[in-house]
Amino acid sequence: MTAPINQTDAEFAAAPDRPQILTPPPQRSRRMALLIEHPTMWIGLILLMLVTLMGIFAPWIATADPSALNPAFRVKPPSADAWFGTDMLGRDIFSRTVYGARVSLVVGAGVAICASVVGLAIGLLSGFIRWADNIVMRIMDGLMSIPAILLAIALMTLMRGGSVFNVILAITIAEIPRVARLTRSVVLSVREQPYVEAGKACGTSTLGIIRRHIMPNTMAPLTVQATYICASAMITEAILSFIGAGMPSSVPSWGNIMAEGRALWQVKPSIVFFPALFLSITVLAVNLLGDGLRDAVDPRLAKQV
Amino acid sequence: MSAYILRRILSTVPVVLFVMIFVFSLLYLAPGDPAAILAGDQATQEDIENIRTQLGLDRSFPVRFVEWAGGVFQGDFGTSIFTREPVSTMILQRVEPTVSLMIVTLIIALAIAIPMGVAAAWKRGSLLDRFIMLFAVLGFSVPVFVVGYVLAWTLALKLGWLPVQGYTPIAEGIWPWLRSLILPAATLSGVYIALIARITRATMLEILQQDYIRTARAKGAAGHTVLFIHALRNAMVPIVTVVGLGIALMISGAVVIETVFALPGLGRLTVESILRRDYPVIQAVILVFSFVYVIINLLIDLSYTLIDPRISY
Amino acid sequence: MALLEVRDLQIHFRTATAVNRAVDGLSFDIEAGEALAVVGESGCGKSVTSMSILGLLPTPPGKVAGQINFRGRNLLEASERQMRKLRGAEISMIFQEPMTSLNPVFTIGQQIGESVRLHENASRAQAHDRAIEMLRLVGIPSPERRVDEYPHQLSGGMRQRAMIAIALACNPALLVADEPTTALDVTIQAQILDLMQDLRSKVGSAVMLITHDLGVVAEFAERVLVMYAGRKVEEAKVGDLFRTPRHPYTQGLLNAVPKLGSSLTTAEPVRLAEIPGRVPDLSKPLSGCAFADRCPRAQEVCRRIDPALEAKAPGHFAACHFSPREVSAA
Repeated sequence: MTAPINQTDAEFAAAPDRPQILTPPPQRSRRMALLIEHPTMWIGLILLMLVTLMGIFAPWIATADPSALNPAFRVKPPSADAWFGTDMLGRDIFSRTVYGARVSLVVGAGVAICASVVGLAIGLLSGFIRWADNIVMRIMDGLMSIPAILLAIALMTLMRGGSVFNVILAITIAEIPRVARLTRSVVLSVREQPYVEAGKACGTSTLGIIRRHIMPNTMAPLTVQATYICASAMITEAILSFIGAGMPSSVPSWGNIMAEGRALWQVKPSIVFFPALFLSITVLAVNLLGDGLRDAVDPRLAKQV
Repeated sequence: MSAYILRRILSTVPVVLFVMIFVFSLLYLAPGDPAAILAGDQATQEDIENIRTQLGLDRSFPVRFVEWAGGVFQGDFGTSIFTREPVSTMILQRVEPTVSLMIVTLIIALAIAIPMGVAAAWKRGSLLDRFIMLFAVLGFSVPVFVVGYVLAWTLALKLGWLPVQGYTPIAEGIWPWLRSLILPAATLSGVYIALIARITRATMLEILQQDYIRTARAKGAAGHTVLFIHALRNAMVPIVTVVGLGIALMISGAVVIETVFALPGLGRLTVESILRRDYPVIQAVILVFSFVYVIINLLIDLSYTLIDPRISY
Repeated sequence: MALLEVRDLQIHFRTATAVNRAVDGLSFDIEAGEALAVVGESGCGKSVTSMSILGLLPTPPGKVAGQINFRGRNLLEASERQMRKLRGAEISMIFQEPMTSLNPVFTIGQQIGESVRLHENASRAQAHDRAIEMLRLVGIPSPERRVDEYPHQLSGGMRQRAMIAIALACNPALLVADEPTTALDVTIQAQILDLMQDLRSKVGSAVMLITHDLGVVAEFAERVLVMYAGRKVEEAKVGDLFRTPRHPYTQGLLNAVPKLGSSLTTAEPVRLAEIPGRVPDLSKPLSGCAFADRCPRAQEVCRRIDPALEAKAPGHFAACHFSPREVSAA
């Protein structure tokens, strides 16, 4: 091994070139990457915002009073006066559809929030209190073994008569078990973590553990779950109204408009078509948002599901 | 093994008990006095009291529950307020269309969803994968009755390929029976396909990463052998589990679909009973559907030993 | 013509942000019946190389360039159908993880028999008989019973024996063994190596043994190839390499192996040498020698000029500017 002070580069044998066989991927900024990787989430968000704006500004967008009867102008096809036509009582379907956004959004959001809050509380309870766990979880299993629509139907018939509040209550009860199970599983797994055990040994109170360890671990999956619950609540509401177990038929909800068109769908498909289109788009928007959130929250899952 | 089966069966007891209490409370708390309804419009207060005593409606909740539950286990679900027929008879008359609908739906769903999920996992990230996943989101988002109307309007009403509505019993021939079920079953399978395709894809993606898949390929097994024999066999447990849980979706969907397609099944009976406020029937239908759901999931649980040799009880 | 000739093999992977050059310009030969060991730290490209020989790398995101000539035919140009005929019949592979490399839902017999049925058109019964025969060959007791058992009923060592049975079921010309003993207990390791050595003489397969364990190399191989950062840095006969390692990386590796009687018996404990620093990030462009950052001998020129692989002694190659040359460059 001689000191190479006076050697020139030419005296060192260089390895042959190692060619590039793959073009490097384009360099993108973080934000651009997010946009490109989750285009559907943005589509969902934009659609949902449009529907929300439609609901908020319904009185300005609607061309007529959604409840105004017009016996002389019944079951008309779409025209310049009534863009989506009129129903059997002569009500303007376009205006009813615009107002229908309010019902769907309120029910969707209402159920998502109520089910999350109550389910979270129940999940925490059964995750922390051993003796309660058995009883609570058996009740949740029982609730889950009744198909959601049937459970909601049963509760609606019990409450005799629909109001937005009753519909939200009925669907919420049917959705609670899912949240409770999720929360409980997070509690059980987090509670066993060494750092939580250590905290307990140092005298952290149960409330402290919930605030510092459980909540941060629950919020992400819970948010995703809440989005899906919102979407499924909208569908359940529409189905309840459609089969006559939901809100009074005078309320302009998408399910109700379709229920009115049920008898006439073969001759006047437009009565069913327009609310169906809006309902589908809204639920799709919420689901796309949920998928995007899930991907953002759990990159491991994003690669798979 | 048999000890496990026994334990697993026993574990459904609290669930069944809860459902029964819930359903019984439904009747107990239901608005309206069944005695007054049964007695009719011209009855005196005395007549109503007599009927009440006759039916045992004046006794306490636990006594009535035990008596009612005893009846249920003997197949006695009470009497319809509307038709005055035994509820069990009404249910038996309506079972065939619903069971037929569910079986055809299940077959369609499995036949489409599993290849879809496998293909999506295999060609992960491709256009095909994206398309299949988009279909799955749509399946979750478009309500069943909307799909039902769209299919019925195009395939039946405009093209005339299939009957628009109604049910042909299987006794009148397999082909007419099947024709009457294709549209509703295709409609109902939508959500189910989305659900199964998604879990199939997710499970397959995980399994295709496993070392034994590499071993199979290193042996020289062809792509389809690896996918459908080596990988899919291992994916069966999660898939079968979701198929069982999805029965709930199918039951919910059947209630709606039978209304759209005028199938005289249990779902249609449910909707009719809601409109008539016929509580004993509503009660019985919920009970029957929940029992079916619990039993199917119990059987699926027990079937794991057959699917996966590692699972033994 | 050697059985397997690898020429200028490049295996690159495209990730979301960069191109990872997992293997970059690798060439080597394996003669028929020879045992070649490929040594290096994890991530140096050993496993990727072995997967590329069987054509099992996912492309994309990967891309393979160069030549892999097996019996004179370039496998990189072969169709998937041709590759399938080769895999398991002429080139077989044993993997690191016996616990997870067997399919849990099929019996051992089905899994051994599958190769036989695929490549020799054997009937179900013939495949079953061959499976029993193979299990006996790899030294599994009561093979008639074991053949119908599932992998979870076997111990780790037994499973690796079963893997070897699968790989050798069709008498392959080349067996690629990727860390076959790493996941096993030390006593089982020795048994498996003995078994492979024994079977090699019986079946006559060439073996490409991939390992990071120099002890295994000394026991098993005839020739060694040392890889670093996707490149070959040294190649020699086993004896030569252990006696006079010529690349600083190989020297580092040898110093990191505890020698019997050194640290335990001397009064003064000798520290096991370790190689300072870390393997370079292969997704960033490298200039000069890949080992320069960790090399005790590195000079300024090492960071500029990528050293060529040169014959430093007869049959002994190394890629280092400052390793003395005992023969004139060919």
